Amino acid sequence: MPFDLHSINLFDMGKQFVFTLTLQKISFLAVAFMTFASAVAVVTMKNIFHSLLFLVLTFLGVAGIYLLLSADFLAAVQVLVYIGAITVLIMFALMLTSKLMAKRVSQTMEQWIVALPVTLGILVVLIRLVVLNPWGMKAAPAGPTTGIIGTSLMTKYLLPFELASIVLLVAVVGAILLAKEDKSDDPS
Amino acid sequence: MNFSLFYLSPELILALGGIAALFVGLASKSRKGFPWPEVFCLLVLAAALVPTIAMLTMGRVTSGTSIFGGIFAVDGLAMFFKIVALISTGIVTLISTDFFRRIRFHRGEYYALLIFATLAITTLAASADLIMIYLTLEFLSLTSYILAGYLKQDTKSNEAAVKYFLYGSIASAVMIYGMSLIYGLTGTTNIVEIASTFKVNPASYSLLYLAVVMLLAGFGYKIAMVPFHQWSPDVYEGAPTPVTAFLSVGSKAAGFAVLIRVFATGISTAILDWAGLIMVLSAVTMTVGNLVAIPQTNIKRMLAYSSIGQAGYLLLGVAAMAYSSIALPSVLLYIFAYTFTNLGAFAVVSMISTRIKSDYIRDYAGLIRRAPAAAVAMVFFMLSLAGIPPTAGFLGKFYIFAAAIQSGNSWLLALTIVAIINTIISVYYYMNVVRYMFFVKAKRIEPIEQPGIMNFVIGMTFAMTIIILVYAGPFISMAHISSGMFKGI
Amino acid sequence: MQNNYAYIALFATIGVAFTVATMWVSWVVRPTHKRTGSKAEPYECGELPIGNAWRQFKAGYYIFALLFVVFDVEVAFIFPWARVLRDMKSAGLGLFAFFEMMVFIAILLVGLAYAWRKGVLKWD
Repeated sequence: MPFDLHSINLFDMGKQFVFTLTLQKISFLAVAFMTFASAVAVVTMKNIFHSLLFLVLTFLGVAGIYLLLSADFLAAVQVLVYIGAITVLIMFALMLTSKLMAKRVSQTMEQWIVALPVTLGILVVLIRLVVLNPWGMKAAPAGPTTGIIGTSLMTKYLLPFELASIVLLVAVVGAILLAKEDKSDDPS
Repeated sequence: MNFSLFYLSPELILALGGIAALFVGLASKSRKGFPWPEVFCLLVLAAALVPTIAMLTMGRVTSGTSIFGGIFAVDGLAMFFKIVALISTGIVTLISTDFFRRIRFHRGEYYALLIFATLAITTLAASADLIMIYLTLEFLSLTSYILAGYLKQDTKSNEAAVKYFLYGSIASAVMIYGMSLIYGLTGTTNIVEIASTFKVNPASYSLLYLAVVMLLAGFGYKIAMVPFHQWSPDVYEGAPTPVTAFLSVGSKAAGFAVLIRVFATGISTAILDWAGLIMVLSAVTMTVGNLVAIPQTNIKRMLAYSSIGQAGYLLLGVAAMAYSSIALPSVLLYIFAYTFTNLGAFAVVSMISTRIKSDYIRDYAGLIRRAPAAAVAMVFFMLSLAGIPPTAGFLGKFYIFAAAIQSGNSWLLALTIVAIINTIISVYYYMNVVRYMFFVKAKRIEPIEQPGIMNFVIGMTFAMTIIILVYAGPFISMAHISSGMFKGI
Repeated sequence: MQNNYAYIALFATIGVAFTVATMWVSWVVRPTHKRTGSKAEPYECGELPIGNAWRQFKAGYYIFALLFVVFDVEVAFIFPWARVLRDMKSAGLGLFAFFEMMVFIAILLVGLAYAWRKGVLKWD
């Protein structure tokens, strides 16, 4: 059994076990297929705007995988930040670039013949190693994870939490510097 | 709590100083008058340097101390790299005042970003948790991308920023994959706990090896290690010269800080023999760097490949850490010497290039007549980079080679021979610059203006390049104290 | 907990099914016409569109999108904090947690103040 969701043991709940396992399996397969298929579409679409639309679907699929891993808060953030904000940002970037939207461009170049076997080789090695490894599993948290994340942000990970706000500040400053048109009356 | 605030004081000063610097820049509109942003930046860096040195010298930090539940280390290694970062950013600030003199740019933000980049390095040097390491590494990268693309009108600067960004995003994506594997294997992100978990139940060797290689993609990209070095020539060439100087010293030192901490504390050689891997990477890095440096005609590209070669020598020292106790102090000493030497070389390049409007080595012809002091200083910087006495670079190289030989490991011995051959190769291209400056006839002979501030920077780095060798005692003992207070292998 | 997800799945299914069904029904009942003349316009009356809709937009939009991303991420941090603030208070750390978040928000307000002083919030 190279890949069995049994070992992931997300909802170990006695009587409901058999039922949830199959439901879970079905939802995992559905979400995984959607994520993978739309990710392939992102890099193969000729129109870059269509790529972006499939990217939304990929982000949504990733959120679904987070849910299956009992990371409910992360799934919400994924929808909020990635689908809600990052996609809008990319769309604006496309809209602002002249003559990019209606153009049909090929996303592959001649080096794909070399790149494909290399990446497939890495993929095979990765899958083999990850599947063969006996992972030590912890039981998933029973309830919502938001509180756990909140507590660790306020206690152990206080420093990265505050540092994150400075990183965001630098992002604001950098974005304004690089994206704003310079006018002659600006301070130099 | 009071104690941890004292431990955090350099970071607090930098964070508040960076925010204040933004507004100092907004307030000082005019170029004429007192240079408030520059002076403020230097004051902030100096203010952060005082508690850092105090912590290192007054014995306030001890081996294995950390705060915030072990995610922020307060040890000699962290303090050493903080000092290097603060000093090098200070020198970069001085170089910037001259470089940007005739260029319109957002002055206040530039110095604020330099302070924030320094904050990123100081926190990175102290990070002892994979989450902190990832966050601070991204923080440093983000600031570096903005700084590399600071000359918005210059297409080469734009290219530098985009290339650095694309390469950096891939490298950090691979790195965080490796981190997730390590987290999956151990169930913790703290590198001390990772080490103790591995001691109790060893992980699958091949999977851990893969994870370590993935981590090296992220760290190797920061230190410009082959094969993660491709960004560096283009970025070094396109970025504004003071930013290039910052990337080649501060950013590289940060990469080594995290590399040393993760490998020496988190993954001991008993669990995974990483020394062999680092040795191979070291040999490849120094050879590629030094060989490709030879045909370069642009001095910034030449210095980029030279700094790849320097990373190779430093990796030799890192590999020797697995076998020799003097390896870590020798790496630190080398980094200290390299800091002043490389910043000095970039100070000369920045001063000359802005005035002759060219980065080509052939345009340095006859520099001895046009700017004699800078040319003479440049000779010593080149000698130091090559590792020839009477310069600091010689001391650093000597110590690293000594550590490798003292370990008695035959592979390290072989690698030392490779390093010596590489040193001889490097003399060729370093002395090529000297040849142009002294012996090739110049097309133009009018003297190049040397402003006082650049004379000060070049003079100071030149003095340090000599002093570190001639008056080596304090520097050697600083390297030993710093590494002694670090609980590694 | 799983029942909550069942609701989500139910809502998602109903949402998709409703959309598909509506479109299917309108496809079934509508008369087939050739799209010619004014039928081919985006709107059958009013202004005629000039040029292509796939055109370049003003670069000023971009900074707003960027600022939006930054503050969206900030919300992602505030939410778990708000969830635990009461627990922190009962643990005697209420003021501490409150202060920490105020620092976080203050630093981001610096970013907003900077953007304002820089004049990027002005639309011209």
